[in-house]
Amino acid sequence: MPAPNGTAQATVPAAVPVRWSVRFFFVWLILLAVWEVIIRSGLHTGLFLPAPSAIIASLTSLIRDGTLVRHLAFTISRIIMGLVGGAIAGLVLGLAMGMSKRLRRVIDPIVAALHPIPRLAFFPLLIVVFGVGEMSKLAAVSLGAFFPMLLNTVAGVRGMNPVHLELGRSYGATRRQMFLHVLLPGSLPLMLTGLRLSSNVAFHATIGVEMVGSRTGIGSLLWLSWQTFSIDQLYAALTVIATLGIGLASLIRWITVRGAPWLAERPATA
Amino acid sequence: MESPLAQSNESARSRHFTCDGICHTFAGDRGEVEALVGVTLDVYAHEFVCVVGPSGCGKSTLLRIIAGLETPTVGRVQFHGPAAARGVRGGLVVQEHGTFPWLTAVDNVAFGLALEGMSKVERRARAMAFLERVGLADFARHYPHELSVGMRQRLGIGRAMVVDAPLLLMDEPFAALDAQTRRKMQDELLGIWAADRRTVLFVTHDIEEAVRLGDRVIVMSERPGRVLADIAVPLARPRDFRRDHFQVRGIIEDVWRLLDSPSGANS
Repeated sequence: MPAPNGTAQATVPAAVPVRWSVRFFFVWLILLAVWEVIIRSGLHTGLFLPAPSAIIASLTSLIRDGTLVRHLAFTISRIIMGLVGGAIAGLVLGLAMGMSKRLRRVIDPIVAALHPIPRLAFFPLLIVVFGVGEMSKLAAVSLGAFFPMLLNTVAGVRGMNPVHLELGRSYGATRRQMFLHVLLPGSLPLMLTGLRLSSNVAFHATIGVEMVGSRTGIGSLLWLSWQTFSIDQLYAALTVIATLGIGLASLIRWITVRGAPWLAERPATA
Repeated sequence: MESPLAQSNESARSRHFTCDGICHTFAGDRGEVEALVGVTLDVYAHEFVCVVGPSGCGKSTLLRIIAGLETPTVGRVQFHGPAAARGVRGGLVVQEHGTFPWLTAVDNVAFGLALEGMSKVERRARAMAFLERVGLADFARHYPHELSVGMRQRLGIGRAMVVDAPLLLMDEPFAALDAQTRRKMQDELLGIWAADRRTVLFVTHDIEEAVRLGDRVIVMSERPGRVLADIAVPLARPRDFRRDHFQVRGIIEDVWRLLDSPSGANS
């Protein structure tokens, strides 16, 4: 975890590994073309590895009959709502813990015990508590998004450069001003790192809970595909999930650049 | 630039602040450490005072106490005249990280004004005037990390000055710079300072720097720090490092004699 260190401050939250580049499309175009040729030439039956054309056909029919849009709407809203809920809760508690030693001493042991549990393992309990409806799914996604945001916010506040705090105090800043003008911007880099990690977990958790206990969402479409042995549709669903993941990562990257422009303009070799 | 701080010569001898018998003890893991013992000091308005002493002599602690960042174990700092009424302790310039990395140059300088609730347009305009004074007008939209170390230090000075703090507290601001940049910055600081002659308390471990810059050099002993001597520097302003060279050398030797004398070392 990068530690904020004054003017040579925290490193850029690690870049999204996938970029929409010419090379990206080029590599995939070649790969899909070769794949297509292999299936068409009869070298492979295409049973578990359907031809790209078959996947595209499946995707097209899913789009035509509105199935995809419906599932996608469910998935996206679950990710966003879960992420917003979990991240805000993590942010608020993280700020409070960062500033209060007493609170840290109480909550640290609780976090230490709960954090290592895989997010999906909470799902059965959440169903017991919230029922099989939408609430338990959102709770699972939020819970996943909560921890990375919490831990990084605490680290961000705790890792504040003490010199910047003293500069603020030397101006006679009030507690409120110290919070708004120094503490918040000073710990923002790690909060954004927290947001990035939280968005990943929220995405994974959403697909997970949709596979396990839902008739809606891309995760359920994926699960249904295997149950009905629609291999084409299975690949189509995977394609949609990959696209969704890249889209989400791009969104978070955009937020990071907008939120902390002083980090974005750093040379990559910082 | 017209400044409310510039005053006529006769009132220049009014006291700005007084350190009154300051003792400070740090409670460490291995018992208490005495940092300062009975430091009494008068600093006059518009004076450039340098505090020099060996590493760990408590000179930075003294500055932090004057800045209000630390409460002395014994004694107190008393501000006189308009400084007391303002309540603002002073602009602080430190060795490193003296700028906010999340603000552009102009917003760094405007930081203190933002806290005072000044409108964005107004404080940017004021800050631009100060950026010009520290020679950074062309870099207003740059972030600190995009500036050189020397420029960043100038920005730190501009940031500390714009609050209209009549007092500038500088804690080894040039210690991290190479010799060449350092000399240039010393010259520039005197130029910036000359515009309105705010009171400056400049802490350094470099005797030459102290003599070159200051009207007075306060020499401190090894830990626990106390005032060994208060040496007036009778060099004309504006200072000319080349012209002053021999006089500076003489005063430096005087300071060395003080530090080497048996009373200089607390054994």
